[in-house]
Amino acid sequence: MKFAFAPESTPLDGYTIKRAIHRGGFGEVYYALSDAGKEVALKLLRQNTEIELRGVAQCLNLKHPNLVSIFDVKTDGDGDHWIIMEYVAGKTLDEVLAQYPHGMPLEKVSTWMEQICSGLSFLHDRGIVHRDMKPANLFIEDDLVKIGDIGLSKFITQSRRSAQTQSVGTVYYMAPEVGRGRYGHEVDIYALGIILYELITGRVPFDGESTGEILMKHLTDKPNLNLLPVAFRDVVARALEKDPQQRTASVTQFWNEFQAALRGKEEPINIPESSFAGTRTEPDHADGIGVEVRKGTKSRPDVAVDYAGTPRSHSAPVAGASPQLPGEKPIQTGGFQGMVEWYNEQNGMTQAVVIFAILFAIFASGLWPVALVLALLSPFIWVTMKFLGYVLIDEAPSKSMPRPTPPPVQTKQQPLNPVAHTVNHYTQKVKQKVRKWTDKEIIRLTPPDTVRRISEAQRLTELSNSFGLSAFYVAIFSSLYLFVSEQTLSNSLPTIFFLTATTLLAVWTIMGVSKVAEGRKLSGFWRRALLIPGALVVGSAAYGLSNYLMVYPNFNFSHDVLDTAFTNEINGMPLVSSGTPTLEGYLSFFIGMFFVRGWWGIADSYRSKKLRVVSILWSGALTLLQVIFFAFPLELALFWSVVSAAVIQLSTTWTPPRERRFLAEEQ
Amino acid sequence: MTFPPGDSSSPRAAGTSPEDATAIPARMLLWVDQVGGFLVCLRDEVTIGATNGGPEEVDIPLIANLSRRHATIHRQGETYSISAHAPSFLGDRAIDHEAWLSSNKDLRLGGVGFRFRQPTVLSATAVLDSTTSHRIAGGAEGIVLMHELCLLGPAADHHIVCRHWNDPIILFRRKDQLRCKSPGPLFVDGELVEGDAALTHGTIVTGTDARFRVEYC
Repeated sequence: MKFAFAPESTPLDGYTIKRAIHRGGFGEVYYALSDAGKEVALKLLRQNTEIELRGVAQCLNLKHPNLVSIFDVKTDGDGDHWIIMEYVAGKTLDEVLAQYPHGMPLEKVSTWMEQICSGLSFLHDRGIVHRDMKPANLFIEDDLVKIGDIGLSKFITQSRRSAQTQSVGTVYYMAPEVGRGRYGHEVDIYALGIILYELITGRVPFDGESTGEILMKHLTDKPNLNLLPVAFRDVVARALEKDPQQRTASVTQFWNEFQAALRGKEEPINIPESSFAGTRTEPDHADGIGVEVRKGTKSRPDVAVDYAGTPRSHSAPVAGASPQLPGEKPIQTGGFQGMVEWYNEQNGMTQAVVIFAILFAIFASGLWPVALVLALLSPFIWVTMKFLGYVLIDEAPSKSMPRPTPPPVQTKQQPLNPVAHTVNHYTQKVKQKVRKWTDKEIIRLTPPDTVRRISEAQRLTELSNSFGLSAFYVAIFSSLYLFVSEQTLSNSLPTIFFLTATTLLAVWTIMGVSKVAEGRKLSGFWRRALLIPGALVVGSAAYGLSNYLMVYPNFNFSHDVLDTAFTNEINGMPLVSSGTPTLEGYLSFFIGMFFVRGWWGIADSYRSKKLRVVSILWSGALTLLQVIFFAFPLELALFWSVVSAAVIQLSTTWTPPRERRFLAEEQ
Repeated sequence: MTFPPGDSSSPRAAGTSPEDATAIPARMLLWVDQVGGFLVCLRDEVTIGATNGGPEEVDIPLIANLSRRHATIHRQGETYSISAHAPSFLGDRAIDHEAWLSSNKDLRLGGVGFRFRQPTVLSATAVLDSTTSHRIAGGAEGIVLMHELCLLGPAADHHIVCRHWNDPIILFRRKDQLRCKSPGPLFVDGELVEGDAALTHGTIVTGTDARFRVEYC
């Protein structure tokens, strides 16, 4: 890389360039010594000088320990403008991160984040948006973190689009709205969320082979929060909201939530008191961050220093209870609720394995008839229990245990040290308001038909993910036929294929139509009506496939269960012929299945829970009622409706209540 | 010792520069673009202490609360030892009088920490990596105790690691001269080098993606 000025050049009176430091989109940076020996960084502005100068002028007199100081702006003999800045001798966060490919220890993360938040909060408090927050712009020297490249905001505003194509490094931290030309302080908070993610995991949440791919991920993808310790997932999720209005409102709030997440851990984390009290510790690590480690004390200390520097006592550890380590998931509540919570936190693959294991256990043990009877009776048992509970206990149906709430936002703000007055009054109000919301209230105010803005790209992404996942689930459920058929594998294959193809088509139809209608203002009737064409397609396909594969569902099982309740024709059209369903039979069944049940309620991302067993049972009960009146093989009908209800819930995205709270406030 | 700021381009202005501009100096600064400033000590005996800002500096002047002559590092053949003139530690052990140095040993002089390393077995040249935040007077950020040669390049076993370079550059002694060469194209003060070239105070060495200036002091 060639630089314009050679060592020992003196473009500015009183300063001698010693070496080049860096070249960025804005120009070149040199290390120089003043005549008296003062180290400085000289930034030569090559492009967009006027815009740049305006931005720099705004920051010229800002003084904060966590910001790289700008000393002056000068013009050389050729009319070029130079910014004279503080030289920071230490490493950049980029370089430090290279030492931690799997993420930094949390105490170091806290030290970095505190100082970054302090500097950034100071900037925001003065109406300045940095707009290029990234590890390469964060320096550490003598245990002090400094934010660099301040004042480049205007330049970036003008040239961001071209810069995107040239520098992938910047794109990793770019908020989605930047592509639309929006540069509020929210873009810094988004970048802060990315940086926190990277500090903890050692990788950025949105990576890709090309700039375009990364940008698309910023716009549509959800970050994989499973890599983060549980306590920090909400903090990062809120900071990485695609919609800037729903993002963490301020840096102060971000910091408080981060602190709360740290506090939420059972294991006290030894953060240097100096981070909060203003004193310094000796750096004892190569990256320059000093961490006060209680050397030689491997057991849990009785007294730890809390994050405000105040000693706080801890009760003695309970015998047998292992302390929660950084990165470890918190201990879940026991019982069925605990299992459900554990299940909901697993990724799709794990959930699939669990379901497969349960089904395998039921079918392989020969208990499936018992399970089927229980499933059919369970809606009535559930209603009876609810009723009895209401009458006998004289209260409304018992409330389910509340979900683990997001890390509590502190009631009393902890001002960022050393800037004690950067707390945003508006943010305080918002936070207090947010604190009042319970998950139940949010769910009540944001039902599945809530009107909201969803980009087409997001719909497409979520749908493609759901399609892929559902194929996997349907294949698992269909293969269970092997256990109940008492046939060889080769004899079972046509039926398994028939079940897989028809169920998958039904599931994809429901998910596709529901995703198109999601967030739009449509009545329940129209949401049902939109599924009718799909029902005709699925019914025709099922009939055609049945004949092609010579898989002919019969009514033997139905007669055993329901006996004589069938209606075998509709307006003279036979539903059954030669003991198997006719085309009209298939069509009428799928029209009924798609129209009677409000499928959008379980396919919408704003459903109340990720997976509700009651919804599955309800689908089965409705189908049972349907085939009582309109003849169709019961076992096949139940398979389609029950499996569809389960697979749709397992495969479609679900937005947790905490991510809907801003919408709940609007409601 | 002072590293004269401003116009230090002439040998005479470079403090203790030798009379003969091509002779090997006691110390020199390498200002490497995009990497940093490095103090290269070429004598077999190197003194370390606090800077006084005047002309009578030690070889490695530190901005730290140290004695004026805190310790001396000796090179005997290919081995190094240290003599302590004030409280110093090698690892956790205090240095009573003299101690042998081996690669990757932590050295503490007062509150100043270093790690002594010999990155490659091909050379006895050693480097002192700072493990505390103390600075070297004059703006250097790294210290090299150069024996026969000093390697600058992208590999971890180079004495001065320049990650963005493609080809290494080798500084070496020949007779009474300090010279340089590289497997890639090399220019000294703008002239293409055939084989190797002598370095003098103020020389600017340029490679395809490298540039540094030699400053005797």
